[in-house]
Amino acid sequence: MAISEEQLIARVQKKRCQHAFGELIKRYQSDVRQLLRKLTSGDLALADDLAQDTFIKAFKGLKNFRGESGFKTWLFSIAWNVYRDHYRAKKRRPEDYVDEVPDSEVETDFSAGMKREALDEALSTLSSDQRMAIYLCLQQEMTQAEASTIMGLPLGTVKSHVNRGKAKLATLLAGWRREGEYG
Amino acid sequence: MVNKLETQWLEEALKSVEVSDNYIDDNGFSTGVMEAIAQEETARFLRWRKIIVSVVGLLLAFGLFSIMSGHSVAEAIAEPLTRYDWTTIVPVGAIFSLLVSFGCTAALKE
Repeated sequence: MAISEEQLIARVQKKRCQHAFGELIKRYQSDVRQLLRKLTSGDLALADDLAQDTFIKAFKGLKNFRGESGFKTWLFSIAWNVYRDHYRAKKRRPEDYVDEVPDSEVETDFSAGMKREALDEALSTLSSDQRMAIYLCLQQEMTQAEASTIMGLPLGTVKSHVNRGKAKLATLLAGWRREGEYG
Repeated sequence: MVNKLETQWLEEALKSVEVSDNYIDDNGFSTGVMEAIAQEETARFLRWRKIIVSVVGLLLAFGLFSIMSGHSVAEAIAEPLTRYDWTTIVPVGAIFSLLVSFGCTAALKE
């Protein structure tokens, strides 16, 4: 029988059990790496480095985890802080490297297989805050309250990021709607 | 504010992309993280060991010095307390504590 998440966390908190933490990593590595890949606009190596830092910080800080939010929510908040600290040190964020944010639609003459690329391209033009809010609320289907906890922002600010991000994506990807597949 | 109906197609598109490539295979990632954690734990243990060895060494040196000078350890501790008044002992003690604290912090710094 699989050991529950609560039991694994308790083992790490009481005994600093590395095996138990290894099991927690296996359960959540995909979620954390996926999140950081979105935030770093697909830079896989950087995303994995940041994911490693996230889990190391989580191991060190797990004694302070009280279970007020879910473990995944707690991990995501660490990942978000690790990501922000990384770019704070560099004083630039991924969106700063985008040469020119298109005012109009991104390429819309594409096959179904290229839609993912177009969506990623459109997402990469959003600010980190908007991208994170969109990812958590629309792609991970977390509540806006959970996103607010993870991002350390007021609920109203998260709502604003989601709405502005959606508006910008809707403009950039308007071709999809006209094409009719999602409309 | 974006109308909910106007962006429903977008929300569906975002979800469909997310569901289609949701899982990332471990491919040694968790092993790498555990190795990094094990290295940090070893380094942490070594730093504490360095501090403990230093403190024990200082205490042994103090005990040896007092025995060689013909006093017991208790006498060696009591001697400055009788020789100096509190206006000297407190600041000197505070400065000594601060130095030990800074030393330990520096030794434990990652």
